[in-house]
Amino acid sequence: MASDFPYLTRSEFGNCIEWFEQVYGAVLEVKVRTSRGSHTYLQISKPLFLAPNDSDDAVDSDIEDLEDTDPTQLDTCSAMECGLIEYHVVYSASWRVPVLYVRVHASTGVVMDCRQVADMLVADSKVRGAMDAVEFGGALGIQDHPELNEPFMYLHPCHTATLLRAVVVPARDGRGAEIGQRNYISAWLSLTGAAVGLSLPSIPH
Amino acid sequence: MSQRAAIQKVWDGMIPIELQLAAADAIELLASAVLPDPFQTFYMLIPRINYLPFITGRVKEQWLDPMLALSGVRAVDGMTINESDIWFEYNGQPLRWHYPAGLLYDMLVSNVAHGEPELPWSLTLHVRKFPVRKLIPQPSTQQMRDMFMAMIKEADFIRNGSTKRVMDLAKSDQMQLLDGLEVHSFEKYYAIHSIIVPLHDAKAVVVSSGSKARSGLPKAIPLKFYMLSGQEDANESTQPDISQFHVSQLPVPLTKEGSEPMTVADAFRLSYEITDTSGNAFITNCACLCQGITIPWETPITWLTDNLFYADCFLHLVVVNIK
Repeated sequence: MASDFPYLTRSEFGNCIEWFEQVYGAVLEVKVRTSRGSHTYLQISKPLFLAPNDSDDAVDSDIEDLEDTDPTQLDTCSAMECGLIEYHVVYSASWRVPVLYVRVHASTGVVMDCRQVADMLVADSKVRGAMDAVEFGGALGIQDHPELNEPFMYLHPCHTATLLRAVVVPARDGRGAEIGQRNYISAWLSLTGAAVGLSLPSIPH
Repeated sequence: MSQRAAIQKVWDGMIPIELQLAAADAIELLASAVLPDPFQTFYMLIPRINYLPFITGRVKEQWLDPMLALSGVRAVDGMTINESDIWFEYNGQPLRWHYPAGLLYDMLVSNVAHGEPELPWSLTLHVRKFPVRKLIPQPSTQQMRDMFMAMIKEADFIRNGSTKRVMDLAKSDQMQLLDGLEVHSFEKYYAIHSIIVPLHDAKAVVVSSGSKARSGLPKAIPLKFYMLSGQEDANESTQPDISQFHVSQLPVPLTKEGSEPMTVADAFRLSYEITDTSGNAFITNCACLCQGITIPWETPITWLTDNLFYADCFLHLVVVNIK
């Protein structure tokens, strides 16, 4: 169990993501990565699909954006894999919890517009409404990835600890550390994933 | 000098810059790489603690727009300049607009620690071909304000364990803080800063380590180190490349075990996980720059944060090789 739940030390975080990779490795494209500072973080990749009505909406509503877009590309994209979504679960020494970073690679290149990314990844209008209501630009921001030192989109972490505390009860059945650390990332993702279109598949037994 | 006067001196710190327009952009806009008089070069002072998106407007209004008007270039045929397309470059490197200007200078200009650093700082202005992989796209005053608020909240969380101080501010106070930063008004900014970061008696750090909460002392200091990778092999004349900087962010406690004040050297050891005494070469081989000043390694962190903080309430410390 984490010594100061819901907060983690960096080494507890390292254990949590190793567990996650072990548990979900068969059903998700997931890998623990090491950065130059010998810090570890988690990378999850998913293909990006644009549903047919998404591209139709783009045609109708955002006329200015289309000046630079080839309309035939949107048509061929309709039921196909259109790119790649990279999710990184990175430890924040400031907030002492994981922070979710995301980068969307579409046919036009990396998408660096928060509203566009939210359009692509968040189907649920309630979730989207809650995200847009967050002050100072919404729940999705852009900053330098702490390990890669390149611009990435990220989910503001201020509310993570509160959500975790309210929803998840840490394991106290005497088997202690392994159980809490085994479940931490999946519990955290069940709270944060919806904002970036990341839902966890069920684990085969 | 009073505390407030010292802080204002830091706030007033400026870097003179000399701007030239990228040749390719000049040719596209004016059909000539040589700009008309008197627009060939633009000089301005930029506050060290401020950010590029807040000065872009001035650059456009006082230099680019009059220059285009004088040359008879009109806004037809796509010959416009959007503020969000403007980016700055130094020695081939795009400047990160979300870094304070003074930090960029300390990182990228040689000889700031000793010797004669380049002044004025010679930069190239671009209005086309924004480097979307290297820089966060679409800089604007609004984006800068939003990013700044994220930094201030993070600093608040590090200092106090919650973002209450910042989030409890009246909306008008939050706007005043941002306006003060944007227009570089110390009065406006500092009035709100003093609410988020109340002054305390520096001597109280040692005396009342058991009652930090009551004395209003922070739990930890927001701090970032910026150091070139392979710093040990670099010499002073190596041209720093911004992408090769390693940024280490770690909330630093005020005291070490045994309640001795945490020094800059201690914070460095903590950030880079140096545990044995043989790892102290950095003290003789490197200098620590903050706000353009070389900081002795034994400086207490609390003193540093009280006096040389940046507008986002972080200490941004650049470690440079001096051997």
